[in-house]
Amino acid sequence: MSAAANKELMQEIYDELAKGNRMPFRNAMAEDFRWIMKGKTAWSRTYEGRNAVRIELLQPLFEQFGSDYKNTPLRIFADGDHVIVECEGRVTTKSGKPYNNQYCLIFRIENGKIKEMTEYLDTALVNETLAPPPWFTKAA
Amino acid sequence: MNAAARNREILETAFAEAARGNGAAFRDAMADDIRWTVPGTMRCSKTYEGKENVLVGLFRPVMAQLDANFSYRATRFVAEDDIVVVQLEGRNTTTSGKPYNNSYCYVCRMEDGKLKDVVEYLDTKLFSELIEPGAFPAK
Repeated sequence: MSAAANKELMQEIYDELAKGNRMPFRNAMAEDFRWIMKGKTAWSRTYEGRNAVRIELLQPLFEQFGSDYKNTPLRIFADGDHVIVECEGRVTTKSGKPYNNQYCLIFRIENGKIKEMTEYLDTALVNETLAPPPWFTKAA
Repeated sequence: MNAAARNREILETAFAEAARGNGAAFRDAMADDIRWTVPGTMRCSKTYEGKENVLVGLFRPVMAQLDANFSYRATRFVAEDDIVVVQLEGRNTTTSGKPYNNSYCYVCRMEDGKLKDVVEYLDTKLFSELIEPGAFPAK
């Protein structure tokens, strides 16, 4: 796919996320999708495969959210297989804390599927606002 | 060569020089009226307006916490038109001897071959622990 087609794919996915619809994102993840979360937080690591992303990252993360999660794209750029999405999340945790993070996401797209994503975010906010994932507590 | 390729080449050169310890090449690539934004919730999170404010208000206090010139290496460039996104890995040591290896993503907008607008993403937790207390003390 061209850079323009890859950009359009991510634009559509984020237009839906801005409305709170996470399905297009979920459906676009390749089976061997890798999610690389940068930083030194309890959540920071590489999640290998769509199942690990869902079970070890997204499920425990959304478990902590007490309101609908919305993510609004600010800017989207594309160059070949890579699409950059700068975006802002908005959600309140179950304990009532706002968790409004700003992200820079670097996607690699292959045949219309998301193969890899590197996530830069305000890790200090993650550390202050989110509890560690359950597997982190067990491993520690 | 199109705009994206030209802008990418300018920054590839500037970061290659920076990786060799030549910070002047990167400073020279900054427009006088550059806007540099550090998103997030840190004390230093804000937009720095103008090259002087970036150098004096942001770079200088950070550098003062490091034991040598700032060292990092670009791992990926992604360019579209006037935008170049650069992923970087830093390898530094604080003045107290702690390793400070941060990961950065710069979203750069170029104008007339110069850096006009930069949004800097980084591991703010690591920065808050190792750099911020000395560089941007709580008031």
